[in-house]
Amino acid sequence: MKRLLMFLTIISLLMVYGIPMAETGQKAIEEIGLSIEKSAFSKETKTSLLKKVNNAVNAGIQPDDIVIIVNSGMRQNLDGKAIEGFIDIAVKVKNQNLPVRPVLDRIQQGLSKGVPTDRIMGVTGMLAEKLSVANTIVNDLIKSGVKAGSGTAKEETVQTVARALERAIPENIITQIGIRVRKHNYSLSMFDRAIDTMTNLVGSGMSVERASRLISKAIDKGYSEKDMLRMEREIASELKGGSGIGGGAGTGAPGGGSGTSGGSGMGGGSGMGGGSGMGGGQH
Amino acid sequence: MELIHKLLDGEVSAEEKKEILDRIDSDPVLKMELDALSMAVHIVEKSERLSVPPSFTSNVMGKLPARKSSYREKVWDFFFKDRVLRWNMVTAAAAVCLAIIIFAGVFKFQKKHDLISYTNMPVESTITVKFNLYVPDAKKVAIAGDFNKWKVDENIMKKQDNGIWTIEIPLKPGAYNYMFVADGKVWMTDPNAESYQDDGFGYKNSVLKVTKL
Repeated sequence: MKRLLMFLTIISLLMVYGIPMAETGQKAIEEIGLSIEKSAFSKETKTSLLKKVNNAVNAGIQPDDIVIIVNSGMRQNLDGKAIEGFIDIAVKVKNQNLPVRPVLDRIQQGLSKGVPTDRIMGVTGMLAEKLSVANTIVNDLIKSGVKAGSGTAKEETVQTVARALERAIPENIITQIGIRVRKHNYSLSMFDRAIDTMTNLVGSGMSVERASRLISKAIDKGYSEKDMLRMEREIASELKGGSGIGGGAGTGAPGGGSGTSGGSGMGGGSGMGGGSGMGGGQH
Repeated sequence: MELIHKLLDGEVSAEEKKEILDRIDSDPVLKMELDALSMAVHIVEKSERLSVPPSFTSNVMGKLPARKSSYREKVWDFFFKDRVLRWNMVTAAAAVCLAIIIFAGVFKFQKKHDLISYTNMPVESTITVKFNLYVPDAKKVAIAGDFNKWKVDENIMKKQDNGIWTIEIPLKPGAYNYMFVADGKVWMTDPNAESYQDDGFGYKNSVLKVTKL
């Protein structure tokens, strides 16, 4: 009786827990395993790479992202150690509880664009450091009383601050914006918007000092997030050459700006033009 | 007679015992009485002790003629009458296992239910964005960005008669970095992008901000 009871309990528990756990990530690992097995790597490299892949999946990185990194790396004929290095950086960031998406994005982007391994490693390593600094800034801000809002708000803000730091916006300027946000009882999402706008304005050619003054004034005047976004678009548009709010985006006109934009050095060659437009139905 | 009972129960002193025994010796009736009682005690002590099942009391009580009680009393008793819970290790283990299974089942159902509600939930509305690029000489043009994890073979653009390559992609509200890729190797920034961002590798990504209509 006791044995039967024990057996039934074990079977039930396995049914509840065991099978789904085994399924999780197994398919993706198998897929990567097959790709690695088919590769020209040595047996040792294959084993080592597969171990790294397992570590990454166990650390909580989406198997899909690992598949892209491994497959792109193999397509670029990178050696196994280089691919392992990319996975290691991502795992390290994940284990530090920092947002891993920007790091994965940078690796995937670099691999896709055919950037040399050393450069990708250098850039992602720097990004990981910026994310760590950004995390401290955001944590301090939350501790000082700024409301964090939704579950993903903090992670998004850390990414935004890291992007600002990558743009060489000094840490103290970001912190000052944070103090101002707290003073006016704004939430973390407003801080996110303010830093994002400042970064975009700097990216559009405005000096850091001017951008930070502008953002500070906007906060003092009680701008909402939408106001801030509108201001950013207007100024970015003016900085681009006064082509009107929205520029190519919004019109969707085929070939909008061809010739003139193509020659600006951003299009990668003369005679190329483009444009993007939002339109059509919502799905 | 009372003294004989006390004697059998061992409740007399040594002096009393001597006195009682002397009297019994001198009185044959008393002696017979003592023998009969001693035999009775002996029989009782030798007899087998029957064990009573735990449910004995409740069974006996159950067989007694039921007292007629009102409906209200029955309801009251159902909820508030003291009950005795009898258990042993096997039933306790079974109860614990059952509780674990039920808890795990509920937890699993909840997770599944969350997943179902998530998939049944109206997906955050996407907005179709049309991308255009004028590259008449290109044989193949694709768009790669963070929305497709920079895969160069996922969103291939279509060439129009006028040399403009187009593609429509449904995107959720948010900011996206992207570039065009001509013939699988030439990376190009969208000349009419809303803004631009260094990618850290020497290219300028085009930035698109999709907002709710």
